[in-house]
Amino acid sequence: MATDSSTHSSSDRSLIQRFDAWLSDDMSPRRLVGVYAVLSLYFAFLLLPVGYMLLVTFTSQEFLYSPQLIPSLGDLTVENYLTVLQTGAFQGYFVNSVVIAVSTTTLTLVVGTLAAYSLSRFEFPGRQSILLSFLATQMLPLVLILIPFFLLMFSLNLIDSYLGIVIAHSVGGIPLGTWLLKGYFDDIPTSLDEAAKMDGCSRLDILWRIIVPLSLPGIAVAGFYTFILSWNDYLLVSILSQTAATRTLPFGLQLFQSQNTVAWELLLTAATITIVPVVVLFAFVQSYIVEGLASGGMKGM
Amino acid sequence: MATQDISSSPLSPYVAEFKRFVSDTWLGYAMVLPAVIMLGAIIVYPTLRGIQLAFFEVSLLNPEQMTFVGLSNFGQMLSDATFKSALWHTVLLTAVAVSLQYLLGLGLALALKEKVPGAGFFRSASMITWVLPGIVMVIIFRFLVQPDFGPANIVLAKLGLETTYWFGRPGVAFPLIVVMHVWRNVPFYAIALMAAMKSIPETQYEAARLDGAGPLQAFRYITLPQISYVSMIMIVLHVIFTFNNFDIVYLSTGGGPLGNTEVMSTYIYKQAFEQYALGYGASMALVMLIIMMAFTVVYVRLEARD
Amino acid sequence: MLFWEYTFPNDDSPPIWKDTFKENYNARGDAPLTIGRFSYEDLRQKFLTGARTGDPDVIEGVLAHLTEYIKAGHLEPLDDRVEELDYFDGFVDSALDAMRYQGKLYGLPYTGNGRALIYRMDVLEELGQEPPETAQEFQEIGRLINKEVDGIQAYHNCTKDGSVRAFQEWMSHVYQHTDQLYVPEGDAWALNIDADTLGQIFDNWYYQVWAADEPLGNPDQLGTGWQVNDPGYLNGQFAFIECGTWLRGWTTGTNINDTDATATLLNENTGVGHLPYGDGGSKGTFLEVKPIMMNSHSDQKDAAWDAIATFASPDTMNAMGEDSPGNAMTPVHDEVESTIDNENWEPFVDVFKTGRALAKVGWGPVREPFYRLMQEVSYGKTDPYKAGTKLHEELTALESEL
Repeated sequence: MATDSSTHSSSDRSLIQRFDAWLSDDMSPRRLVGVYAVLSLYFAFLLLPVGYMLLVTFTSQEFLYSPQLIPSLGDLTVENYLTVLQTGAFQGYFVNSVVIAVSTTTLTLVVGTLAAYSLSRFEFPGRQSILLSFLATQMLPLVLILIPFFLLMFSLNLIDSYLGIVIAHSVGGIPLGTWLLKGYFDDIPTSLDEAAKMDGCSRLDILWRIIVPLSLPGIAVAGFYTFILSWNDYLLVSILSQTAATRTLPFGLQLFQSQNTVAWELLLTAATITIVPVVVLFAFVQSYIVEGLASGGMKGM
Repeated sequence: MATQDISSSPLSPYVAEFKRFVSDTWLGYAMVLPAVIMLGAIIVYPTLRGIQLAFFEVSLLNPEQMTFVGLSNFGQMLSDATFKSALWHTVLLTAVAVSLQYLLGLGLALALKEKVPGAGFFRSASMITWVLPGIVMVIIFRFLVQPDFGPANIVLAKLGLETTYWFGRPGVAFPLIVVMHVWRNVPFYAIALMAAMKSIPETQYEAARLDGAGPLQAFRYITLPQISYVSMIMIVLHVIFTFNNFDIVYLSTGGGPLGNTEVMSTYIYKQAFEQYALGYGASMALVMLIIMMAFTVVYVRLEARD
Repeated sequence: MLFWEYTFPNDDSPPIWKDTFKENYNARGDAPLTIGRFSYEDLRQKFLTGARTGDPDVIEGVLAHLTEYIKAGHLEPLDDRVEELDYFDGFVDSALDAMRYQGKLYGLPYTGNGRALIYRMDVLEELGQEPPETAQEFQEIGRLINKEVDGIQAYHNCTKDGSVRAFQEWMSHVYQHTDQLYVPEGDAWALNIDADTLGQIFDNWYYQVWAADEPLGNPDQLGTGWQVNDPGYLNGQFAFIECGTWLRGWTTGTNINDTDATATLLNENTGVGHLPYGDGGSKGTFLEVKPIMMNSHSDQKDAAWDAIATFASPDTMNAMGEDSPGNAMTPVHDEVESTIDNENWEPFVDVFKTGRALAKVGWGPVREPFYRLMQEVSYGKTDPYKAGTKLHEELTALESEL
C-alpha cells in the first residue's frame, strides 16, 4: 500500500483502501495526481471539440446560432437526429459506406494475409524488393496519379461501382496491412511450422491452423486500419462515384451544404453519425490493437 | 528441414529438397501474386503516366495534345514564387507537425502506460480523433471558429478578446492547420509508443533502480533506445502522410488567406484544375515524390547506423 | 441516361419541380433517367476529367463551366435540335446569347439573374438618405451608417480565396466599366480595361471596405464568403450587400436566426437597386445565366436531348418558380411567370437587363491573380492602384493563353 490510511476516519477508509488496492505498488499519490493532470490536459485538447460537437447536435437550431456556450435543458432536442436519419439519401450513403468498408476489409485481409505469409515464410528471389515497393507506394502523392488513375478505372469499367471503389481502397490498404501482418507472422516461432509439417500439414494448413489463430490481434489491427481507411476516404470516392448509388458518408456530408447555405446543425449531426461506427468498432478491438502494436506489428522490415 | 525421410537412394534427399524448393518458391510467388497484381495494375500505370506527363506540356482541356518540353517544367519552378512558398509551407508544416506529434505523443504514452484507475478508458477514448474522417475534423474546426456562434469565438468574446473567422486570418490559419494535424495524430503515436514501452521487461527498470538510476536516467537509457524502432516507423509514416496530405488544407482554407496555407498538394491541384497545366502539375508532384524518397532513404539509413 | 445537377434542393422544400421535370421527361422519352447531385466544384472537376467516358449525358452548370467544357470539346452544339422546340422563340435573347460561342448554341438557359445592390430601406430612411448611385455616395452613406446606427455594419462582400461569389462580385464592377474584360482580336483575345480602372475597382470595393481607415466592412469578417454574406444580411447584420434574386424566398431553415424577423426584413425593409459605380463607370452587372448542356461524347444523345428540352421547358420552369421563387424572379423565357410579388423587388428586372454574360474565355487562369491581389488589397498589404497595375500586367500576359 502506498499511503497510510490509518489517520482517515472509518467511513472513508474502505473507499480509500479500495482505491489503493487498485494502484500498483510503486504508484505514489503524487505520481497519481501528476498522471491525472497530464491526462486531463491532453483529453481536454483531444476530446473537447468532439464532445462539444456531440452536445450541440442535441440542441435546437436557435441555440446553435446564438452566442451562448452552454445549453439549458429547454434547448435539448433530438430533432436533428430525426431529420438526418430520415433523409433517404443519407440512409443510402450509410449503407454504401458499410458495404464498401466491410468488403474492402475482407479483401485486404485475404490478399494481405497471403502476401504477408509468403513474405514471412518463403525464400524467393525478389522478396525484399516486393516488400520495399509495397512501402514505396505509400509515398506517391495522389495528385500525381489522379487523372491517369481515373482513366484507367474507366477503361477497366470500374467507375461508379462498389467493386471499383473496393479495389481502389484495398490497393490503399494492402501495403501497410501486409507489412503489419508480416511483422506479426515473423514473431511466431518457425519451430511451430516445422512441427505442423511433420504432422503432415501443407503450407496452407499451417497458415490457416497455426499462423492465423496466433495472429488474431495483428489481424485485428490490420483489419481496423483498413476499415478506417475505407470508411474515411473522401478523395477516391469523389473521383469514382458518379451517382448516389455509390456515394459514401464522408463525400455525402455535402448533402447538408448547398450553394447558399451550410446547415450546421444537420452537418454536425451527420458528421457525428458518420463517426459512430468507427468509434464503436474501435472500442471492441482496442485491446487487440494495443496488444497487436506491442507484440510485433511494427517490426515488418 | 524436412530431410529426415528414410530413402532408398542416396540422391533422393537432394531431389526431395530440390522439389520442395521449386514447389515452395512457386507457392510463395503464388501467394504474394494477388497483392502484386492489384498494386501493379492500379498504381503502376497511373504512376508511370504521371511521371511521363512531367516532361510534357499538356492542357487539362485538351489532354490528347502533348508537347514534349524536356526539363522546362522543372525550370519553370525555379522562377515560380508560389511554388517556392508552397514547398516551404509543406516542409514547415511537416517538420512542425511531426515534431509536435512525436513529443506530445511520447508524453501521452508515458501517462497512458501508468497503471492508474481509468487507464483503460483513457486508452480507448484517446483514439477517437484518429479514427475521424478528415472531413469531419475539418467540419468540427470550421464550426469552432465561425464568427458569432462558433464556440471559440464565443469564449473569446466573453473574455473581451478579438473574434474573427480564424481560418481567414493570416498568421493564424497556418498554425490552425498544424493544430489539426497534431490533434488528429497524437493518439496514434501515443498508443504505438505506449505499446512499445510496455514490451520492455520490468526487470530492466528494477535493475536500473538497484544501480541507483533515477527515473530520468531510466527513461534515457532504457526506454528511449527500445522505442527507437517504433519511433522511426511512426515518424517516417507521418512525414509521408503530412507531406502528401491534400484534404485537410483543401477542405479548410483552400490555401488562403493570402496564400498563407498553400501547400504543394493544393497548389498542384490548382495548377491542374484551374490553370489546366497538367504537365506542370505532374512535374511538381514528381519533385514531391523525389523529396519523400530521398528523405526516407536517408532517415532509415541514419537510424540503421545507430 | 445520367444527368448531373446541383439545383434541385436537398431537403426542406418540397420537390414539386423535380417531380414535374421527371413527369415531363417520361412523357417525352423512355430511357431510364438517373440524377446525380454534386456541388459545382465537383461537377466541374469530374466533368473536365471524365466527360470523355460518355457520362454524364447531360450536365447543368454555370456559364464559366460552359466555356471550359466547349474548349475541352465536351459539349454538343444544339442548333439543329432546337428547331423542333415550339417554345424556342420565347427565350430571352441575352440569356440565349450567353450560351453561344462562335455562332453555335451549346446549352439552354433555365434560370437567370443580375447582381443588384440590396439595401435596407429602413436604415436609409432613418438617416434621411437616398439609395447611392455612385461609389462615392455609397461610401459616404456607409460610413455614416457605421457611425450613426448601432448594431448594423454598413456592407459586406466576399473575400475568400477561391470563392466563386467573390469573382462574380468583382466582375460585376468590371462590367460597370467595360462590356467585356476580354474581347476577341483575330484568333486571340485582348484585355479590354486599363490598369487605372482595375485599381479603382480594387480601391472602391476592397480597400475602402476592408483596409482603409473607417472601413465599411467589419474586419472580423475578412476572408469569408457567401456563408457570412447572405445569412448576415438576412439576420439584419448588414445595411448593404450585392446579391441575386435567390435572397427573396430565404426566410426559413438553416442560418436564419428568426424567421419572422427575416420575413419582415425581406418584405418591408429591403430595397433593390443598380450597383453603385465609380468614376467613368455606368450601370452594368454580372449576368448569371445557368445552362443545361449535352455531353458530346454521350452515346444516348436523343435521350439527353429529351432531358434538356424538358428541363428548360416553360412548364418545368414554372414549377421551379413555385418551389424556389428566387430562381424565377427574372425568368429567361417569356412564358414563365415572374415570381416578383413585391414592388420593392421589381428593380431586379431592370438590373437583369443591364447584365453581361461572361466572355467565352477559360476563366481559371484569370481567377488566380484576381484572388491573390484582391486579398492583398483587402488585407492592406498592397496599395489598390499598385495591385491594379500588377493585375493589368498579369491579365495582359494571359491574352495568348486564353
